[in-house]
Amino acid sequence: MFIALPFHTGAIVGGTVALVVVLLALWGLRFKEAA
Amino acid sequence: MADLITLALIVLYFVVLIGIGSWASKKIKNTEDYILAGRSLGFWVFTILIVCSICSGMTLLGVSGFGYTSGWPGIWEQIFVPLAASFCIIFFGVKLNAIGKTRGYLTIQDYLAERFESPRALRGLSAIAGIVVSLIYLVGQYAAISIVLVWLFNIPHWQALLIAGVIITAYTVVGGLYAVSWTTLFQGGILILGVLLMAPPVIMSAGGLDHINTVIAGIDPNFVEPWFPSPAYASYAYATPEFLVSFGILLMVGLACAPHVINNVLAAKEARYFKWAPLVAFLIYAVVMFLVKFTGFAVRSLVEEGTIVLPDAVNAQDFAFIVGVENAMPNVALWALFAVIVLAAVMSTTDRLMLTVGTSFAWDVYKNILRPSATDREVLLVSKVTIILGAGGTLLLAINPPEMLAWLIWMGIGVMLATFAVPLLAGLYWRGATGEGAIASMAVGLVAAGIFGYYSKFVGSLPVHFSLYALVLSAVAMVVASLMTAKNSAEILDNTRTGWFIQSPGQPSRKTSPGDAWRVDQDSPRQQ
Repeated sequence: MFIALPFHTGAIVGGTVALVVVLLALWGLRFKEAA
Repeated sequence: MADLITLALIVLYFVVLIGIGSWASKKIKNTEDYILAGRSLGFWVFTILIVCSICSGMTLLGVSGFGYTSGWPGIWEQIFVPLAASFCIIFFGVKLNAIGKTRGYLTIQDYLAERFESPRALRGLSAIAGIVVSLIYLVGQYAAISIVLVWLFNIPHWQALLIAGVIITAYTVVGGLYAVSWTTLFQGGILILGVLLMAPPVIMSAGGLDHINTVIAGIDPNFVEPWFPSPAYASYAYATPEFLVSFGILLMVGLACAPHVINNVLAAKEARYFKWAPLVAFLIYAVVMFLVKFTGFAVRSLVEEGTIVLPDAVNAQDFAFIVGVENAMPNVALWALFAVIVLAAVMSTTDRLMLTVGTSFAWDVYKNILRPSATDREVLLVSKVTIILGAGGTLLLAINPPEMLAWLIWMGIGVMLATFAVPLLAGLYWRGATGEGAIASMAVGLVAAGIFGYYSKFVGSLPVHFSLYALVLSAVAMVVASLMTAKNSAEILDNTRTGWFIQSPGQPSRKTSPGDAWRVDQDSPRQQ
């Protein structure tokens, strides 16, 4: 239980947000700036 | 409700907007300045413009209202909508910004016309479809503005609409995208800071998230689940897993390809902004959206405990954030600031929509179809007149407020998704997509969205959002029509960077030096 939320709800929602942030950070790191 | 401080702050806010519009008007020398702010938008102006073009009346009123009625299963909206900004920047922005600069595009219709070699038919259809969906969306925005002003000043609905309409129209007409983008930076700043200031007290006034979740779980245990079980067992329990899939596509892709959002990518000054703008836009927007959603939960909890009562209205849930702040903020100064925040959220989308309507008609329909010999001055005038007429028409429609604000806006997004997603994505990433395919997919998507939207609202409920059916039909129309017709020329496909890549192709398809595959020597294709 986290903030009175079932564990699976917190894990699914929190995990999705974390995944999105990681993917967008990877996009930024791999982006090739034009010379 | 209105007192002197509220009134003074709102008047000051309007004066600043008009001031920015007046300043912006001096920077406009030609159509490119008016439509694209001279392609001069810096990182923050560009990023906040994308976020605030998406962030609409729904963000503050509809999001907290949805949180109020549906609890945690609706939380996916807070991930999908911010993702729309990232999706737009990555999948449309990188390519379109680069092609737009080399080919001199002023609107997305310029891209579609060249990519599909359809300077009149597709340009006209997409411009008119864009104008129609923007107008639908505008009605929802004006309804949201009037909710705020009516409640603040206790004035008649039509007066509220007239005040907001005149002010937004004034700065949009005189300042074009310069005015829209800089007022949006100003309004976006107010919105972000305001929500960071306002939402926590509302959540705390309801006893904190811990207590709120316990209370709403008592109303319906599924309110603290990640989704509602399928099939939906109540009118508020429509966020089932299958619905959420269609909801995700609708919000993420539909908003990303909406004309008032995607056109912004042409105005970014430098391509390097696309490196971190997707993450920055997502983070800013997600924080704001989550906080607003939590206020919806908080107000539901407060209502359940009998602390507050929502107004007796059909769209009572749309007042959740307003009533929550009123309850938590006895301080008049903060309260006045809140009024400005809500207006900022709504107006920053409204002005961009109005500019899109004006420029789509003036540039794509008038200049490129009806009267190619029109001068820059004439195009600017037509654009301004169209904005005024568009504002007047949608204000009249908004006088009869929609039954539910969020539904009207969702209808708009659904039409945008079904109409523009397939031609844009297929155009950018599939070399087999043809002009006939684009016209077929756009027409089928537009008609199907209307039919399924009507069915889901007035005949019977559908297991997924109506736009998904229309999107699938639009994609089928694109594939079938493209396979039956001749491909576009390789030169056009290369010039428009068409292919299965975002930044650069693996193998240049033309005989050019490495790294020079997409250099364009031809003159701009648009009619002068």
